[in-house]
Amino acid sequence: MNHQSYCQTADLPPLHLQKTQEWFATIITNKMGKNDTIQRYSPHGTLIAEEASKYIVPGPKLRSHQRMQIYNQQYWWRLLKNLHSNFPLVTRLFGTRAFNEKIGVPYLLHYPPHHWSLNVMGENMSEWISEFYKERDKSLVLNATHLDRAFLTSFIVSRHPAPNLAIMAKNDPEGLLSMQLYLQPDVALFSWEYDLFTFRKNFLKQGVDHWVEHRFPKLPKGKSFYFVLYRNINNNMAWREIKKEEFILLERFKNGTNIKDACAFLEKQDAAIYEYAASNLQKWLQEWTQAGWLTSEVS
Amino acid sequence: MSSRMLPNLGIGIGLRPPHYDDIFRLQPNIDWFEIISENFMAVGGKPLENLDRILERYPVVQHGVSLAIGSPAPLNFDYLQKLKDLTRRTKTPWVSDHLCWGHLPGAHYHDLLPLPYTRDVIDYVAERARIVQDFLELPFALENLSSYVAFTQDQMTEWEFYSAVVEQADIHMMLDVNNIYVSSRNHGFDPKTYYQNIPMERVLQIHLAGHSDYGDYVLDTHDHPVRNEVWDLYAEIYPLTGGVSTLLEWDDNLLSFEQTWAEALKAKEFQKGIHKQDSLSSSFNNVKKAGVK
Repeated sequence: MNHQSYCQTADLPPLHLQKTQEWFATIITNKMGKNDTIQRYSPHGTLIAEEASKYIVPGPKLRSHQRMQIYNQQYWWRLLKNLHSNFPLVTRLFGTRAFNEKIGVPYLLHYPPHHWSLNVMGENMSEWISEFYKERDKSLVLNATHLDRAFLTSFIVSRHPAPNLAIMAKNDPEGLLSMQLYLQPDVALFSWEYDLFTFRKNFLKQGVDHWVEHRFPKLPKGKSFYFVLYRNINNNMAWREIKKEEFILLERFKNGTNIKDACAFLEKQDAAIYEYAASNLQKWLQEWTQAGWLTSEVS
Repeated sequence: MSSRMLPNLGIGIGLRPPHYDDIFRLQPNIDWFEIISENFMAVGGKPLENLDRILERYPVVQHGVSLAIGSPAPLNFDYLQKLKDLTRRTKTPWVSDHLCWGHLPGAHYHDLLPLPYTRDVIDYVAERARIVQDFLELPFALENLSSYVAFTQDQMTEWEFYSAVVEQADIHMMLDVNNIYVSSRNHGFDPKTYYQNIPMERVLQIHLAGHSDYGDYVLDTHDHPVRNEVWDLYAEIYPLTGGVSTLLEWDDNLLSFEQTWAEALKAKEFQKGIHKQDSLSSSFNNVKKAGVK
């Protein structure tokens, strides 16, 4: 039996079930009140104690709306905990309470989860911060969000097969030069005016709320930093600082290019970049190949 | 469909990432691991590499949290196909998820939400469960929830509802003994009545876990040792199943791998009936004293 025939045989839900579930969802996703208690009024504008008693029978010790409060709390606590886990640096920049108030809850109200995978829950965090977060540290928070998200993505994403460039160079050098190459999906590039990788490493050594009471570790500054994040040959997360010229070239492969076009692109750069990149290109290609950063498949 | 033909894998624990290093280093002689299916669906990278290393040495059983079978949206065959693909990798002898709902069209709540216990909901869920088992081509089991509410629409008890769904769908039961206890406290029923009125021959696996007692209610938190009351229930239920695979779930405030394993191994003592305690009856007395009917 194929999917379609299964779909045709599956019954529609009973109407009362659907209505109850819609009501239930409205209540549990409603923002919690003071001290994480259920709001006195439901989103429908009626007293929650009255409204809940139409659907929920009181328990041995709890009234109907008090029983719903458990689900209201579990919904928010579970989702926020997942955001803490997926955005460990961003969470530590604020501490749990401030993160929830300023980032977590407003984000989840704007982008409630729509997918069965918890990994997808934070996919719009960068967009949300770009649009709605207005504090003075916005740039740092946004960069931290990009970095946390990149760590998660790089950790879980599947790699494409990597072409053996060494064999191609031997057997089909012309084909190699015109072969379209891309960065593997686990490879991410960053450029900042500070070293956020070292900062993040030091930050994550402490618990979520440690930095609320302590001075932040030093954010190394003073030059432009270029980094690549990737999974190493042991499939572990790794990153390294790279030269600006290497970064510029890798960025070309992010969107897909071939070696011939990459060389043509280099020729258009200023002399210092061109000379440095041209003299290192062969070495870099070997290193990138060994590290498995390149693929011929589009992500 | 009886579960008696399915293998008893022994005692296992839930596979959790903080334990990987110890498992790979110690290569403990543990019977089997249970994985949360969704943690390995639609991912590659390190998670799948770790799973493959586990699969080289241990039987793995898949347990899901996102099927949400009682939801009003159509069954998600993209999700089910990914689940099925994973079963090919793990060679799991069965697949389980929960008797719950958890999403509406366009929204996912990431919780195991309770269903009203009505005749038409049984029909609706049983039909979908039958399709899931048919599609996965593996024995499929639904787990009883810890629940904190009961609906005004309810026409029957939880155990009547649970039994009817699995029998009508001709599927299996993943019986969570801690959940029986937690729900018994939250709803004021006798857990003995629960397990004496379900088709035990359909139980293919048992879950054990710890919970948090807040006085007015009990929460299924998986962050404590299994309480004596739950061990006692397990000691009574296990022989009725004919001996099925038993798993300890521990998801929060994680212990070391060795401590978790030691906690799981206590199950062996209760299987033999060594740990005779009187805590079940004393627990009921406490519940009665606290005013629970």
